[in-house]
Amino acid sequence: MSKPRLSAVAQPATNAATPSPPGEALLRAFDELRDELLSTLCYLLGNAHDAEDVAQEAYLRCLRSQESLAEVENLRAWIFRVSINVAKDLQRSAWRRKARALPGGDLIALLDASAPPVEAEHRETVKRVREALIHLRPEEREVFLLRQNGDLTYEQIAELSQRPVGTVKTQMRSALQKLRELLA
Amino acid sequence: MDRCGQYRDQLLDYLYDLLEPEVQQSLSEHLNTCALCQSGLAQARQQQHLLASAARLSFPHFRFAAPQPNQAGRERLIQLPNWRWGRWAAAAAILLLVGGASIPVVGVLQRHRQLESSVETAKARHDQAIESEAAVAREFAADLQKRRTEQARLTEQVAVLLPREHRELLESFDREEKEHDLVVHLSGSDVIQPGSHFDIDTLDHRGRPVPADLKVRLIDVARNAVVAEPQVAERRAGTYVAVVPPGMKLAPDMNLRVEVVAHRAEGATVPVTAAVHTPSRSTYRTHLITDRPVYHPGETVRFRSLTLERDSFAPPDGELQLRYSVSRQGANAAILNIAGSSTASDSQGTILRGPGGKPLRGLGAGEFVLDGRFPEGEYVLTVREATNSFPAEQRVFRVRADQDLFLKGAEFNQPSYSAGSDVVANAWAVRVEGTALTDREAIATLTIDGKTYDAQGKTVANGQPLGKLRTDAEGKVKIAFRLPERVDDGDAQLAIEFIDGNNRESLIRRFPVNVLKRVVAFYPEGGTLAAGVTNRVYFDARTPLGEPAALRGHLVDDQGKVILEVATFHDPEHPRVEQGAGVFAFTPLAGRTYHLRTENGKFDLPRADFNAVALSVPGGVVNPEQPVRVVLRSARTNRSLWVTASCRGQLLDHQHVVLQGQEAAVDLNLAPSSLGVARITVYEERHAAGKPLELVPVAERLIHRPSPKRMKLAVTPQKLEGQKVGVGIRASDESGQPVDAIVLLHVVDTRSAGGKLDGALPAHFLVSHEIRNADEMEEAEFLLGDSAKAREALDLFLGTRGWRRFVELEGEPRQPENVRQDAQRFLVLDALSVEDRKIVNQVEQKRRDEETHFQQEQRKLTTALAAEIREVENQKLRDDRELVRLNQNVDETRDEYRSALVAFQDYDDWFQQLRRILQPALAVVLGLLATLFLVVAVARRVPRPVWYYGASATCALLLAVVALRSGLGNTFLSVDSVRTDDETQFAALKNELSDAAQPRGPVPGIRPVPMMAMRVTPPANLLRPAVEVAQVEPGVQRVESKQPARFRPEAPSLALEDAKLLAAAHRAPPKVMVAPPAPQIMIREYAYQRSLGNSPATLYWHPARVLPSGRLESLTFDLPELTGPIQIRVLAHTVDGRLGAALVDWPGR
Repeated sequence: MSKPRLSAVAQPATNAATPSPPGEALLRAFDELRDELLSTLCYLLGNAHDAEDVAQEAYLRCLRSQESLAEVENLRAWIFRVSINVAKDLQRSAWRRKARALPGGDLIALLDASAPPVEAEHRETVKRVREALIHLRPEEREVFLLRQNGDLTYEQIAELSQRPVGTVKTQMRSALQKLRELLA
Repeated sequence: MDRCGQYRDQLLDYLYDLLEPEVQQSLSEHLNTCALCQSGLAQARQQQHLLASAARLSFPHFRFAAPQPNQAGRERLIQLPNWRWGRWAAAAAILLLVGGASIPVVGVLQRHRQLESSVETAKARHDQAIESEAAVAREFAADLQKRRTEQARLTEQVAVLLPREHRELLESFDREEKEHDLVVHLSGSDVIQPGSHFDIDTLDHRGRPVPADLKVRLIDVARNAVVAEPQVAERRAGTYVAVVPPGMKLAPDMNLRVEVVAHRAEGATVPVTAAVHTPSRSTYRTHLITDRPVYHPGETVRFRSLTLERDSFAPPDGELQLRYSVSRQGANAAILNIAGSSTASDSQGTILRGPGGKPLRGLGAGEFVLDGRFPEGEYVLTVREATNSFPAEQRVFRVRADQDLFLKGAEFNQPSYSAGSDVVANAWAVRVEGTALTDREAIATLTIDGKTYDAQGKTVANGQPLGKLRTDAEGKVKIAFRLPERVDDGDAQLAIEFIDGNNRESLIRRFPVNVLKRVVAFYPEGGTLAAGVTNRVYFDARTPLGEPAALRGHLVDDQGKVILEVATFHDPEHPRVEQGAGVFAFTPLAGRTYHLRTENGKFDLPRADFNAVALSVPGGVVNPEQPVRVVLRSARTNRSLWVTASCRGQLLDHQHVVLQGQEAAVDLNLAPSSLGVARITVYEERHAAGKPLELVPVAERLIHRPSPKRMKLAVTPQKLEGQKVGVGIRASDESGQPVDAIVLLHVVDTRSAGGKLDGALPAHFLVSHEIRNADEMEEAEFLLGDSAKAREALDLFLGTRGWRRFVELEGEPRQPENVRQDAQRFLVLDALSVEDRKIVNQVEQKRRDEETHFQQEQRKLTTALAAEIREVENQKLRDDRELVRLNQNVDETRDEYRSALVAFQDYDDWFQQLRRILQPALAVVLGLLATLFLVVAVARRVPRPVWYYGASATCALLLAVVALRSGLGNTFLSVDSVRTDDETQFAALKNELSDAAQPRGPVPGIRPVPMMAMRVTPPANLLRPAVEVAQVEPGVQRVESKQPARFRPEAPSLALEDAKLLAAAHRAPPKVMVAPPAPQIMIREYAYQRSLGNSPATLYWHPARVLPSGRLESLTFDLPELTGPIQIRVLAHTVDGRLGAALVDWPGR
């Protein structure tokens, strides 16, 4: 599924209190990617709170680097890459990991609360798929979400995760296989 | 899986760009053309949509917050807590670190070891499963190899060894046969004289010409000296002529023998010597009969042949290969050929056994239907033997196209008539379906000596009838007429034509008209009437029509002097043997003429010859145990004569007689085994100036030596209830004791049989080699009996119908062609010795046995091979099932191993992460503590600084240990490097697991299974059975592979070469072609049953019925509705050479 690529072209500033036009564009891009980005982070980190913190931190990091925004070719991929790096920084924190909720615990509650934007007859299916997503191996889950929500190419994912492209594709196939078995 | 199936499995990968570019391109193109896959793509898109929906959660309330100016210095939302450590906290932390933290660390390490141990255990089980599978596979492969070796051995046996052995055996038989298989036929005059020649044919036992080197010698046996060596000229391959040297001298006392030494040029390793000393004979003779002489189209011809040894009249020991053929009279091409062996069997193929349980030999029988190949005409049924062991025998039968519409008959009021007498004939006719020909027109015509007469005996135009008559209510018509006053030859016949609508049928009946005219022939005993000495003269009298006639009169010389009274033989008890023959003896004088004066006329005797020799064997019938006394008389004295006796071409004895006076007698001692008719021949030495000695035959006659072994047959028909006839038969020997006989039983309806039957089986074997038409001897059974009357009648028979060779050859043969044929027949010498014939027959038998044995062996081996192939297949399938089971076990242990490994990996992942955190933290703490203790010791000058120094050193030491445990500080604080270590370890585990999934070591017949990845679900084809089960045979399941079986051993099926060899063994005939054994000739019994339809001529026929203890009680058959008189023919023989025949007329209803 192809998604519209976000443009990094800055918009003209409206006032001083508001972010500069690049900042405004960045905020607009983050807003547009909000659900995909937060969903991805939520699945990766296991709870919505961390996901929101990481998303906010990623926004700030991007904001700090907005001078180089013009050089960004794929804003969407850039945002996801920064967000993933922030999430990994968070995961590396011993304190963060120690405080991490059990996998899926908080997330399942979130999933239940989040009404699937699909027809009623597929609601149960979507719910099962989400549960399956939680139980994917972390690498597979990461690859799938980056591809599905982030619309990153496999090369970009490989670069981001520092794994060979073949490995990334294999993990994607594995994730798809597991999810497809669920759908079959 | 088909192409669409493959593509449909890849559609989701296609949407996620996971396919290789070329596959992506191929699938894309395929989607443009395949509606089914397009539908699958739509489904995949739905799945993708669902995945996208699941991956995306909703965060409607979240807003990204831009940084505020007062928050500009805040760069991190996530910060470490604001530590306020105190001194005591540090101490507590140290205590916690050292003491409290050690407890969970120990638990974690223990858990890690447990999981690691589980992995090792699962791995060991997996290894064991693989090893078990490999061991079983090796065992199966070894077993299969053993079976294939056995299979190959059987195949070689069937296709190579057995045929080769068979071929070699047949070749050895051929060689052995060639050593003995040489038949020399010598033909020509048995009067050996200079200039005469012999025709010599060299043949194999099948009658095929065989080139041979010949050496012909005339040997004087008495002197054991070679008299002459006739030169041999080759006419063509296998046919030679040997000419006796013109200058050869013959001495009177020579006991000559022609010796032909034949050496087979082709393949013979031992020369075959055929010493021919006398006209020899074929080994056997055959009697052939049909059930009737006349048939109609569509009827069945039944025939039987009986072959017996020529001297002993015993059946042959071995089998004869009989060849029957039917051809038109005068034509060579056979219309029908029937072949078989002479061992009789019934319709089920069971060999019939005779007395003593021995197979019935020498018999052949069969039947054939006169279909469209047999139009009206005369046909000849011929029987031959494949090795020419007996002369071909023939039987003539006629096919008459017109079927009788009526059963007809006529009876005359007197047995015979004279000229001018009144004749009354009652004729009748009944339709074949049984209704009388009531009130129908009948036309009678009288013909006498070719002229037509009316009812008053007046000559009328040819064809003019006596009158038109009508039948009465019973279909009878009465015809009355008067014979003419003068009848010459007495050939009178009455023709009655019955007219039933459009159906006309004539009945022609000859009736006897006594005429005075007679034809009388004289047969001086020996051939020529000798003047001046007593002669016995046989004569026979016949009517102008050739019918035997009684004659009585006087022998009168030319001066009217009555010499003696003469009469034909008369036997009131057996009038049928009165053949108009008689004999008288008188002494003719030279220059005088004699005649027989009777009331029928005057009949001149031949003139007496002064030079003739009168040969007399009084009685003509000589007991075998007695010498044959031959009396020679001649008016001319001082004659050197040779008297020989021969039987069936074999010289039995010869004596030299010098006739000093007018009469001499000589006794010839004949071998007791040569029975039947023998020939006595007298030769005279002729010495001509300048010419070699000649032996000239001057007199000859036939004698009969009856066999002491006789068989009497008593046939007693009687009428039974239900229109049935019962026949009882008794066979007894000369002393009245029952004998086990094999009989032909034959019953005919004489009205429709087309002629009378003959019962001349004994006559055929005893007489027919010397007398033409001996099979037609009427009352043969009586003539060959041992009563005085029978001997007298037989003597007359031999004297009148016996063939006197020299008279007929030199002078006036009445039937020159027949005589010549007979001469050829009698002079043929069959030079194959009995021993050689036995050997050839034995070889032939061995060849047939070998053929049968070969076929049985081939069948047996082929069956064994097929069973072996089937067993291998079944074994293979059983092995496959076992291997599949073991493979499933391997899969299960691998899954367990994988599960253990995954569990370990998950735990280890967490463990490593924990280690990555704890190790740096511990190092930092230790470093801080070491520094702290050092600073305190130095800066605060504590009273006992050594403790601080010690603590600092301890912390430093622990720090070093931690550093060493972390890889000597090799970026032990680097998360990336820790992860790299983990991945390395994990990769090592993966490799180990992959190795575990591979068969350890090369396992014959097992292909390694590629292991995709640790966590990849095994392909579906590994989980579902790779085999399907189908029934092969009861109790054995056959497994057919639907896809390449992973653990299927190398196909142990029959190799292509083996299969080819096997197929060749099945279809290829052996290289050496051997004529297949002839089928047994079926002995079929036929008995008329009323329920089957119209009346047949043959009511009963059984070619070879065995009479145990010479008795048959229960022969019954139906009588047709309109049966006339029936005739029962019984021809019997025994295994010890007795012959018998009985011909019984029975009035029927």
